[in-house]
Amino acid sequence: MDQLSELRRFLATHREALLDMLDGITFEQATSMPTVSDLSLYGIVKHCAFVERRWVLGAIGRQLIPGIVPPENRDQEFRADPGEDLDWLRQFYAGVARENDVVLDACDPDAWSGREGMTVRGVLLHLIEELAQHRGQADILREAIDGRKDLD
Amino acid sequence: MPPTPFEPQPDELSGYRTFIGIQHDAIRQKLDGLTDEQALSAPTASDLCMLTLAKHAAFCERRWMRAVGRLDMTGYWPPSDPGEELRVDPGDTVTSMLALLDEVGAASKEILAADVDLDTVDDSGLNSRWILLHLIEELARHAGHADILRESLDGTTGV
Repeated sequence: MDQLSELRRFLATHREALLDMLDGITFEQATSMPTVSDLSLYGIVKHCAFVERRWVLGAIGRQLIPGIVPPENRDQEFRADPGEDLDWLRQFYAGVARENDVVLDACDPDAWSGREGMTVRGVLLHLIEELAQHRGQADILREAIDGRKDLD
Repeated sequence: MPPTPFEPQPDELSGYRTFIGIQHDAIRQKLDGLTDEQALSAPTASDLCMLTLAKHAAFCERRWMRAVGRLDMTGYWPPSDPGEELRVDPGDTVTSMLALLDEVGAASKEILAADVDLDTVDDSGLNSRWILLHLIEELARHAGHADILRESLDGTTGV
């Protein structure tokens, strides 16, 4: 598989795994903070949606998005706003992925992005490492919530 | 936009080098500064402890990088002692694990400093592009585990 397809496949794998962390639990469980950390599963997934949006539309697509690029309130990305629920977050993230796909369909991994010193490839690699790292945090949170173990 | 803290990634291999190094360092940093007792305790609902997490990460990095470097895999894959990397053996301490991580990290740098064929598929059906991407995601996921373990142990957050 070529470089760009492989990068996108790894990114999608971690996005799907993060969204899967919300399956089989309630909104209350998803927004609870089951470890000493102030992280919740809901907050991790919501933050990752913002992160993907910021890097792909902002850095690769070179768009300015009020409130998102640059981030206005990063802490709020980790919390549910009034009216949100698990379905809202799933739909929001699906919309981010769709919008990002349009940018990624037309990108060149060798090109420099809007972030100084970062190629498009670098942005995608950074997104993979960031989503994978948050997935690791989510592994521990999910096990604390209902004992589900995702690690083999 | 502000500059990033990352090394530039002008070519494909430099991208893998940059992010493998970042995640390797992240795990090392989460282990460094703990006592042996802290590193051996399982402070969350998971049965993971920092010492075996770091050991497992070091073993993973070493065998995947040996595959990328087309080095002899005897004893590394399949492992001669499959349980070793998730077991605490006599002599396993924070100090010894930091030394192992340093040794593995130096070997990775050496392998990635040479020309790497990213496309050719090896006997196991994998090419080095996939292996290096997988190593980044695997180290990063373990770094995420380490984030929560470390914060549970002494309140340290961030990288």
